[in-house]
Amino acid sequence: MKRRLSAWVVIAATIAMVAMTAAPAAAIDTLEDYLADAEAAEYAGRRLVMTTWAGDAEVGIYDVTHAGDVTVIGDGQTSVSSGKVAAEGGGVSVLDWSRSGLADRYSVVEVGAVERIGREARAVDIYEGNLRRAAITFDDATGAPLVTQMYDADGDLFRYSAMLDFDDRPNVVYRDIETTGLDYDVMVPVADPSMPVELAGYQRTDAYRSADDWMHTFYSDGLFSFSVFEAGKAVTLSEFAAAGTFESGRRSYSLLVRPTEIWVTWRTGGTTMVLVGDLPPDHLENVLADLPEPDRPGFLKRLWRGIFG
Amino acid sequence: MTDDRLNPPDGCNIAELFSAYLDGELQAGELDRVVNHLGACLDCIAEFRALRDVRAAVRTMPLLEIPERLLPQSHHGAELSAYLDGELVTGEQLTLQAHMAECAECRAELHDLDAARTAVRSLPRLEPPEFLVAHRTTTRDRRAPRRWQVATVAASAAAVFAIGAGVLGSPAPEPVVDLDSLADRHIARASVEAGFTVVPAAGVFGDAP
Repeated sequence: MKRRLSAWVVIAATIAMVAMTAAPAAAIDTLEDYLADAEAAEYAGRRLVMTTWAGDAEVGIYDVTHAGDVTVIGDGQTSVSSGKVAAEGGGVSVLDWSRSGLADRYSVVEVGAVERIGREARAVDIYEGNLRRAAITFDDATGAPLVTQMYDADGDLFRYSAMLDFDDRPNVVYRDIETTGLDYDVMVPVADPSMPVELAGYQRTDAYRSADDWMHTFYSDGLFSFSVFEAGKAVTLSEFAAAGTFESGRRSYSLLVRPTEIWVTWRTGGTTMVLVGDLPPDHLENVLADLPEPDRPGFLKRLWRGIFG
Repeated sequence: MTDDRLNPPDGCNIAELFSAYLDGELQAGELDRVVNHLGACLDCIAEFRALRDVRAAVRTMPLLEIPERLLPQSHHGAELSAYLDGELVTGEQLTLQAHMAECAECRAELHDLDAARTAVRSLPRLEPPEFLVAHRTTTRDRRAPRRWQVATVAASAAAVFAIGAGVLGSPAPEPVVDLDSLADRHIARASVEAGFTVVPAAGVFGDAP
């Protein structure tokens, strides 16, 4: 009897030790780890990106090669590396920047192992409070994001991105993006930006003034990001001529939806402002509420709209 | 201590070209040679990746802060033009960027230099006047341009008057801005965010890539 009791004690102790040693291994990586792995991943393939807004969907399919700190898009037409973008006609170079941290409003929950386009992968959900804000599937071998789903405040999908095919040994010509021979428009940091330090949970990281006098302020919460451009005068943005209208409270904005981002413009105090970013619709509304509100249309314009719509 | 991965494999004499390849300094023939060899030699692929990793590690090393008084010149005006032309090597570029982060004078000069280059590029191409090109003219020919000059001056004056009257008579049109330039600036800045996965859509308002 005593020997049987000892055996049970040994078994229980063994199970407890195994459980204790296994516990750290079961702990999930942080979201920062996943994003850092995605940044270092090397891969190529076609990526489908779709954004929905008010029932309409904008879809694009892009050839993407990501390797050696350079992303090449669409038959080598556009190259992007850290702080630089170069296309056929020229390039933009950011002189200096600050890295933003991940906002503490996000937490990550590991869903489990999955298979995607024939590859072993790991699915994670990203929560903002109790709201599932994103679901991302990361490739096990490379860390690249294979599928990304972003949700709005109602839990509805508003952006979907997925690799349609995937090559983890991209055929890349490793070249410095500076050797393209293009002229770069250098974005020089501004020492004392005028825009708020924080907008609806997004931190201002940098501000730049361009050669044509646009003020560019960049905000990020570590997961989503956007830029606010101030022209300093009234300008015409021809691409918005056929844009839709976005109402937020009594405020009215012009809105363009693209597969990868949303564009909003409005006029306030004689200057044209533009916001562009990948942020969810509810975040966009909160950010716009903290920015200068659009000028209200004059009496005749409101009368015309009241009669003819 | 040495890293055996950096030793060139036996029988391959192409390793010395890898560094130039990474710097984009190869001639056309050499580039073909490297690309073809990399496609067939696993040892050189491994060595190439090792060299690339070492260079990446070197690039991520922290910059040493050098006191301004120890620098041969604290103002880097001479390098700014080379920086805009993309002619600085990586180390010089990082040093200059670190300096400009602290030096408002250099930032302002870089901004002015870039603006001046942009302005020069946008100047219209002028054709030289006929009298500067022709070397032989007759007396009769010499008189003819005078009549043309009078007519040209008169026409120019009329055009200036008409334009001036038009400008004064109507409000100045707003400048039209191309959103692609804003898209490029947003993408350039967003590209340094961790986990940047947004497909950069330069030319989003043109044809899809």
